[in-house]
Amino acid sequence: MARKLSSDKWLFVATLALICASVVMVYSASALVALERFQQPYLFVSRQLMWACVGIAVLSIVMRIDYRTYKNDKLVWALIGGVGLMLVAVLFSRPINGTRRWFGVGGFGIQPSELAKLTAIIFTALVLERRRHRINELGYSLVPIGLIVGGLVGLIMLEPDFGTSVSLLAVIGVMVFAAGLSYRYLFGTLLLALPALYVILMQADYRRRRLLTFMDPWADPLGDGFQIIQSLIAVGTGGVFGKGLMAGVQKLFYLPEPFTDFIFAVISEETGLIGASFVVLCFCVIGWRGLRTAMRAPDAFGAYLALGITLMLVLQAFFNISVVLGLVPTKGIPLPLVSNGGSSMLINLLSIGVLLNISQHQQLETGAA
Amino acid sequence: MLRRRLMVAAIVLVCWVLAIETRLVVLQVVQHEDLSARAERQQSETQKTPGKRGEIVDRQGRLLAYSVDADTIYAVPTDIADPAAAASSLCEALDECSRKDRDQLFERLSRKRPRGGLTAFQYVKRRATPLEAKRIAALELKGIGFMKESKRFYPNRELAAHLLGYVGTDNAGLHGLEATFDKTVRGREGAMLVQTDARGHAFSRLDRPPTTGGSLELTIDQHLQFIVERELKAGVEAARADGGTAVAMDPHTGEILAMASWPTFNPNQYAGTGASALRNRAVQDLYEPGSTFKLVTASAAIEEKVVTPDEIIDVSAGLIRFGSRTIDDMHRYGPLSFTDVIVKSSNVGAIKVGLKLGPERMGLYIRRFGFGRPSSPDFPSESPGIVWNPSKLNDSALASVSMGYQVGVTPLQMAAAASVIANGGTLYEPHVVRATIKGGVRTAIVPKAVRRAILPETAATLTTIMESVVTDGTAKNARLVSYAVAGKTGTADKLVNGRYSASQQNVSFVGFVPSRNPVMTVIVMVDSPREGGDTGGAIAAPIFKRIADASLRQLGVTPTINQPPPVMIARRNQDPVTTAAAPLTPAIVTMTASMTDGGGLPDLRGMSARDALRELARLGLTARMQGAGVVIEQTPAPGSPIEPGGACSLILNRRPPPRTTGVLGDQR
Repeated sequence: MARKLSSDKWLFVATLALICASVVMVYSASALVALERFQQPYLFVSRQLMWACVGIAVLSIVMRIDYRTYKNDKLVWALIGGVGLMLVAVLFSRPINGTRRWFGVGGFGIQPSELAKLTAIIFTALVLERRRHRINELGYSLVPIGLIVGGLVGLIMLEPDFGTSVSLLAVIGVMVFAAGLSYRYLFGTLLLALPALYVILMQADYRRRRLLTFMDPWADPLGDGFQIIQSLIAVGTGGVFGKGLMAGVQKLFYLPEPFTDFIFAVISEETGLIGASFVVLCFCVIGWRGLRTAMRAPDAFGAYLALGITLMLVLQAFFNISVVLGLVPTKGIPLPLVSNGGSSMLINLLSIGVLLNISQHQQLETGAA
Repeated sequence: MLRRRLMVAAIVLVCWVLAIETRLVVLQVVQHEDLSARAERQQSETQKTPGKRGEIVDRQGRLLAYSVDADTIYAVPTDIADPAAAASSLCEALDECSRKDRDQLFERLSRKRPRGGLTAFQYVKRRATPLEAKRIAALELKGIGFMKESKRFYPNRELAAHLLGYVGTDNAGLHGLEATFDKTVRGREGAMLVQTDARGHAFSRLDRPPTTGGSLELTIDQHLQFIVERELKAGVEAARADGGTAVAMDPHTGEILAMASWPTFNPNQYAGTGASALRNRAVQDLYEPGSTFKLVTASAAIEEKVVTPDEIIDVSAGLIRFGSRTIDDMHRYGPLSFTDVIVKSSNVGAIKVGLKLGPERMGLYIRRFGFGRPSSPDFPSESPGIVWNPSKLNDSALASVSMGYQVGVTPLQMAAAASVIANGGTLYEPHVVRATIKGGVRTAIVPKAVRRAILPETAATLTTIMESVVTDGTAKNARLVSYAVAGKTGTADKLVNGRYSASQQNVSFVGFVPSRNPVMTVIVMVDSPREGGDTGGAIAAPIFKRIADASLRQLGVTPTINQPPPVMIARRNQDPVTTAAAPLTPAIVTMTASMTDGGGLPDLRGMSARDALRELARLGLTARMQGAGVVIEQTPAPGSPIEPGGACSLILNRRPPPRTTGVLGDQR
């Protein structure tokens, strides 16, 4: 199979820029916390740096593996089986902050839900390639996707990890939509989903409170509104140019999760409108190059896979940023490629490796056309 | 299909990005100020440290008030692991720390903020003594810090206390010049910004160091101030009076050379001082001046040519009636010249002249002399005084005003008015601040002539009359041996509960000296004397005399009467130098050491301390002095051989020895 050596430079540069920002900002946001909790200021950043290096290595290997290798039923089913087992197993792990999301392996936490996302995307891409001509036939295409993805999402919900579940559903939903799902289904699903969403939101007390807080964070500034208010204060104090790296104050126990879910708030505080916009720009570049790759992919599998991976990164990033800016209700979801977290970083870089591989093929294909 | 659907997804994403960017701009640009203020509020506690106050010095640069740095000890409670242990060991190191103080300290160290965290700053002890600071530093406690705060110090204790005022704990001037010139003297506040994280841990401190304020150079002469206070106190105590005040002023500039009130207080320990002791009577006490005010009546009458000094006024009735009201003189006189009306202080005479003047002209001159409005911006607490509108004065009231009743004046206003006569007719604004010094730059304050109040001829005539008051009239007690004095006594019954009291008087004397070329105007006012008489002549005039005598010696002013002949100063190997004196105003310094031929120790007896010191310094000798005033004894004796680098002991006394034993007498 012919393959052109050059891959998408823009995509790679944007990824690299975000990883560099990640290392710097994780250090800035975590140093004092790490110093206080573990007497080691470099604890988090050294791990993040290590994962970034491992991730880049994985990326450079994966981008050389033809993506069509994954168009293999056995492999995909094995993946689904493995991930399913891990998701079940993780439910028996020791809870951290009231949730069971991590495996402790050799001192590192591994999050099976990250792998589950990629697995679901590959599976959906495979199904869509084969059955998209009858996409609007419920039993033929939608039910298999719904069963597998729904199963994975269900397991993730049990952890519980509402943020990851919602973003995975959104990614798969857009993939199916792109495959040509009739708008009838789309609106129908939405109509059905709304009451379901309402029930899901309102049955868990913490979700309901988060939603109400989102409506009016200043109603209870020291209680439920605290997180979002602290986030807004962090962003606001940054101004246009920011307070300077390491100079932020909000990360010092004001912000919840300053180096994971709310790292964008720290970026906004310390580097201002300019730095924050730069991060947004990087994700725009990823989105633009990713969609371009999807459009020019040589086969439907490549197109759906590229789309799914791009959406996984960009939708999640935009969700995260919107949470930080108070545009959507608070929901635990990390900023891809930037937030502290090994498995997330690894899987995201691996995914980008796949995306880069697809981009190599599309150039050959368009060149030949 | 795919392409179209992807475009739809892309458009949705672009809209989302636009929403994110808009939100970023709103938060980071539009609401930046608001959110930063919120951050500031929750993140930092600002602790202010007052600046160091500038110095207050007298006209010679001698320190009257200065600030010293003292250590203030503070705690950062979040850094203290065991508040109870910290409180008890701190308490042990402090000088005064009762059980209650310790419990209070513990409470403050463990006090919680509204959201649960400990506070980030608490004082342990403000302005601790050096020893306390040393002991606490030796404890090496975590979470205990030191910062400099200044402490005000008045080295001369009560000296000029009313003038200087005092300073509160927070370094703000609360009284006197410290309050009036607080802005100038107070330095810029320093700030200690303690930033805290969400748990109240202090993680950074930003210091803006406090600055030192400007200095005040006063017109006060510390030595004259000392003399005035000493004599005022002696006089008031001898008369067992309620209080008193005295002001000495340079009549040519309005500079206040000394200003004293009794009772007084120590500004270093002002706490608990009663209101009576805090009052600066020279500017805050309004009194009916009585006969001293006849100077205004006389000035007006002479300037307006209503009378001449020699015009005979019939006061033989000894009383004058206004309806049911009778005003009488202290003594019966025959027909008196106008000069004698003032000299003997005849009420009837003054009233007759006042009635001739009429209310309009009387009122005009009262205003011209500066009565009825605050005389000096340096004393914002000064009362403007009470002066009736001329149109409201009927004959009876006008009669009262002519002899100094039914007008309210401050001693400072009276001194300024007498200075008008002293300097030849110009009213100067009294002032006490000569210059401000800020950042090494001295800004002098120019004396301010308010207006010409009377003609020089009028002033000269009045001066002659006032000289007679001292030589022949009611103020014989104010007479000086070596200087001609011009002055006027005043005795006014005090208004007690709306009626003039028979037993309580405000007695005063205002005068200037030497009368023809005055160096100073002095007013002395004593409130309710109980012993030694109840008139200005009996009580206030002697105080004036002692103040003037000592002050003029201190200033080295040439005597104007009993003038010594010109002195020949002869030194070995030098041509004799003759200093000639002008007939009327001798300008030579007469206090001169006589050198014996053998070059031995000069006779220093009779010299002022200053002159004796100067002389000894010239000879290379050190002086040991005892007492204050004039040299009365010296060891080694005059004529003893001089040992280079040797010492000479001097015994000084306030009263000079009889003139015949002085240096001048020997030479004569």
